Amino acid sequence: MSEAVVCTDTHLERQVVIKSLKPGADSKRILDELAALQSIRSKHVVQIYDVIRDSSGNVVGIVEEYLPGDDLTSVSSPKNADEFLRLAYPIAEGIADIHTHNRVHRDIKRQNMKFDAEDCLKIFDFGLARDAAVEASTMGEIGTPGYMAPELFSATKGTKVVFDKEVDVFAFGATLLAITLGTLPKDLKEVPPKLPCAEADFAKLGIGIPAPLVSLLNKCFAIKASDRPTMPSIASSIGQFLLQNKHRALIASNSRTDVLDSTNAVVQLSVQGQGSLNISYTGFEFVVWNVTGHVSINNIPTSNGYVLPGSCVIVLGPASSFRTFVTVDVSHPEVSL
Amino acid sequence: MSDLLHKQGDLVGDRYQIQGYLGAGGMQEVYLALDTLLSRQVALKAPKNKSAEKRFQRSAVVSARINHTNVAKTLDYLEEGKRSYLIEEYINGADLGQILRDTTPILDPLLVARLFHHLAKGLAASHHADVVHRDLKPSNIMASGGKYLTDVKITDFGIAKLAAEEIDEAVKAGDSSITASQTVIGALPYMAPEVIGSIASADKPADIWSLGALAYELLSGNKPFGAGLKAVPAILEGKVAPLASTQRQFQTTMQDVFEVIKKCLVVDPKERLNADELVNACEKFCYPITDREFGVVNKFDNNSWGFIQPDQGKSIFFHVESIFGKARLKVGDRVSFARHAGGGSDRAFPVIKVI
Repeated sequence: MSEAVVCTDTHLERQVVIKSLKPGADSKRILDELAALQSIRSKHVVQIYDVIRDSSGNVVGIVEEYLPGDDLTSVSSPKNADEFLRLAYPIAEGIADIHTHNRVHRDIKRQNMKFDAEDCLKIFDFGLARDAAVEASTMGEIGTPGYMAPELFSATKGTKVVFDKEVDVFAFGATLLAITLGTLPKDLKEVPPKLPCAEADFAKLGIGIPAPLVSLLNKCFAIKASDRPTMPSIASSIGQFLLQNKHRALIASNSRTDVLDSTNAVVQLSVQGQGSLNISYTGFEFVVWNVTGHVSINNIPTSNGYVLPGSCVIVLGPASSFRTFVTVDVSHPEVSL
Repeated sequence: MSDLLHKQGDLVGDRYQIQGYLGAGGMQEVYLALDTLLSRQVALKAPKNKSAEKRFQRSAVVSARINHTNVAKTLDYLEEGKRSYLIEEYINGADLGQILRDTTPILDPLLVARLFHHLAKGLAASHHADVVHRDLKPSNIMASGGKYLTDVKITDFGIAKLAAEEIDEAVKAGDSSITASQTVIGALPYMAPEVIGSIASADKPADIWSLGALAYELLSGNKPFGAGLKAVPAILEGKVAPLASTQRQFQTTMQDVFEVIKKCLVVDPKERLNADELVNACEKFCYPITDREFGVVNKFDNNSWGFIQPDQGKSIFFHVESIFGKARLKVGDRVSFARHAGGGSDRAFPVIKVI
């Protein structure tokens, strides 16, 4: 896609963006692709309103929602882990939505995303008029150097490049680096990128990103596409860190109700002659330890280290005798950014 | 589809093909249509009569200003012949009024907390765009996934203003039309005290009140101030019966949600939460994000636990404490629940009785 112009829709009195397509683009394919994009139904994918045709019926332009404000090249660099996670999460979630619907964006970079007036991240400029398999000679049209995965350069003369969702994962990692550093590491910008790249390391950003996330995010730059994590798994890991210390477990029996959270992180449940256990909140999970006597959770005999599911019944006491039932429900605020 | 403006197969604006009739609001007919250009289903709304038509574009313009995932998106507006049409995002589901009436008369606090939170976010987005809804009520909220209540989206912004202006005009002309009174009666249980007597003058705080009244109804199955004209004195006084659960598993969330509802149902509009404050309050709610399923109780012969036969899959265990509300369950009752992993059988929590 080339030019984009902001126009006013006179019927609805709102601004829209009209993007003109390169001459000679395949109209049917563009329409198919647009329909597929709209089927994603993600709040992170830009809304398409209309297409514009020329006198012979060829699609020459796309009318889409106008997003005021700047793209992510002008967002201020995150200075700590929390700011980083809050920025990374909606990006990861948006790409995950696209991948869950079996689409590949093909040109993920900070220039192609924006926060709208309601602070919802929107992703735009899908690599439309581009084929899934591209002639090696037309490689330049497939993405943006610095964000391009090595497999995009693997074709030899006369063959086609075949790629999948993993190119978006690579570009996602590069996008986060670019946002945090303000620029991309030199080795990534090489054509093809020089990998492994020592600067493409989230630990070196020095903003305290939790170690498990560092190692997950660093794998975005794996040379082998299949070694990269999937976007849904990245989004869910970031989400877990955003909810750190925010869970709440409600533990209720006939005699008492306990709320277990980051300020009240340990509880002991004990009934003489039946059994006892401790439950601790780790900031991520509720873990059982110090189990003695007869204890089962959701009908499974429990042992130390067991992680409580979202909702369960703990039973103290051996079967066929008097038993104590304790219900536990784990909840948390919704990650809503 | 007799007496309707359109029948199946009609092509509107050379682009939208009518696929079915979805229903009618006070002012408009709503159809399911296929956007033949972008191969997607859309909701096509057409005003019922001439007088509604002249202000229809205004309402389209107003709703087009809002862009939020919890507000139905306005996609297009067109005029063909003498008719005008609004094209909106199609939400595959049902309106909340239908769901309360036909499936689930009350919802558990965990689900209400989530829906309340999402509706507050949608409303905040519209207030940021300076758009007041004026007629928030269950039938103006679409639930995607229908009875599964996957998510909620507010719809019909600006339509209320049309209705209000029509009523005012009708009153002036001495012509009390039936449509008008139906519109008022439907809106009354959710109407803020300052709005009674002058609907058209409703401002943002009135929306907050309505949302609070709506959340109250979801939790309790009751309209906070009753229905019909008898509600008026109660609304003006602003007193609601407190909501509390005696059940340990629901107490905390019930209390959290009711505290926020109370701050929406404050008689003085200046003392009410604004939309951003409401969103902040809802962000503190704790709730698990679970899919709901439906099934039938197939064993419950003691007072502490039983089993549910889900519509799909094998029997699932429930504990009596997990049943929300006053309904006593018996074998054969239909229930809605969320599933959690368990040994032998999965466990249902929460469980609510449905129709």
